Amino acid sequence: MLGGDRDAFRALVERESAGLVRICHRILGDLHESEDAAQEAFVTAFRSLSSWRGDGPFGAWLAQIAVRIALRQAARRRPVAWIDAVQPEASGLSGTMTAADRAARARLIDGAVDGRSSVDPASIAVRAERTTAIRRAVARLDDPYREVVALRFFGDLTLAEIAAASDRPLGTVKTHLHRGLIRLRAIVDAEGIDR
Amino acid sequence: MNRRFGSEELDGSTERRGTVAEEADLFALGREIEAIAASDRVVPSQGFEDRVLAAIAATPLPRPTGAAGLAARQGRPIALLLALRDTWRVAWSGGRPLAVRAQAAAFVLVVVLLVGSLGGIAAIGGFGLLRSSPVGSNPASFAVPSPEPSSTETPSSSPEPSESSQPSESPGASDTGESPEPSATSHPAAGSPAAGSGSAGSGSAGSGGTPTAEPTETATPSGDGTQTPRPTETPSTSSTPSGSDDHGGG
Repeated sequence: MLGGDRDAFRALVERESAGLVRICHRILGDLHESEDAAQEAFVTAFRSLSSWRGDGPFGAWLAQIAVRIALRQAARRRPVAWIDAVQPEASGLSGTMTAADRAARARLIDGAVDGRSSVDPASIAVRAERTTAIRRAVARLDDPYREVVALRFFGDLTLAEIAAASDRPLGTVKTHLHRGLIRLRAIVDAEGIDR
Repeated sequence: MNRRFGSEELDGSTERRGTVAEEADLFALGREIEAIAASDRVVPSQGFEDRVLAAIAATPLPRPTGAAGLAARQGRPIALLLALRDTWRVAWSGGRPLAVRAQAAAFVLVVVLLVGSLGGIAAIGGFGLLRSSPVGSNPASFAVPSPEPSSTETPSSSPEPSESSQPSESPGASDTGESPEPSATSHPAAGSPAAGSGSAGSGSAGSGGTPTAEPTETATPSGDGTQTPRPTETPSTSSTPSGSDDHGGG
């Protein structure tokens, strides 16, 4: 495969395509965009086979390429402001929520995080909004932290795999993850995405 | 596949650890992102793999020299260096077909020869420039400043310090108009002999300008300008009061 054998690469595509599309979907949130990003990642990997060092899993290297492409695509997006027919104050989804609204909202998200997700439309709506906000916040991170956070949480890579794929020391990757989470928390707080 | 985010993943980070509440907040955020990722169970649509393989079929075969050539055409030196590093790695690492490694090795060899030949031409050109430059006049120009230090030595041997010592000794010979300089030189001469000459000197001092030996001694310092600036003689003149006391006492 490293010599450019297309048949060998076909087996790789069949094995990695579902995971790669899922990684891109966690960042982008749209299936068609995710498939486009995953396809671009496969083509880029095929063209750059000579630059693969071979000191880590091939899937980690492929995931790194896909995460970079998806993050770049997410950063190119224009922010879309959805106009709701219901007034924000009435729906309780704005930054001017009362303490009771915040508590109820936190209970909904905690239920979703703990796996006790209900079929309640309000719960689903709140969770979807929160998911979109966190995806957007990850895409707004600065460059070294954004990639490490996305690879760790969306790419399901260990820190050792991230260090091997990005050719950085493990301590540096840990520092980037820590700072990335701190900055992500600041972005989430600044956007008023309260729990 | 999904791994639980734990506190050990931040151990070893150089970032300053926050309070317990801040750390718990960070972990809650990490767990929330994990939950978002775990809840995403999307699968690719039908025909996705065929589309990917069709796109790969339209892509030219990967060549180890492709990235370097592209970087050279686009004028990106850093990308060119990185591509050369990758080509070197492909050439000398295992796990790749022999044809790919031979192509990479040939490209590396061509680059090394090119860089070596350009460096050799530059070195030869620089050496030729150095050899063709005129040589004759430069050493002469360096020889010109050498007399200047010799001219600076003459002010250093100026007799002015000897003249400055003369007024200090003039009170001892204030009676005679010619005697100030001889009287200054006579005291060192009298100080070095222990007793015999000292008695003769005492007689001369008491009588005034009668001693004949003292003017002859003054002639030698005035003739040799170099001997007068000796500072070693001026301390001996300071010993002359003690000699005069001896004469006064005797």
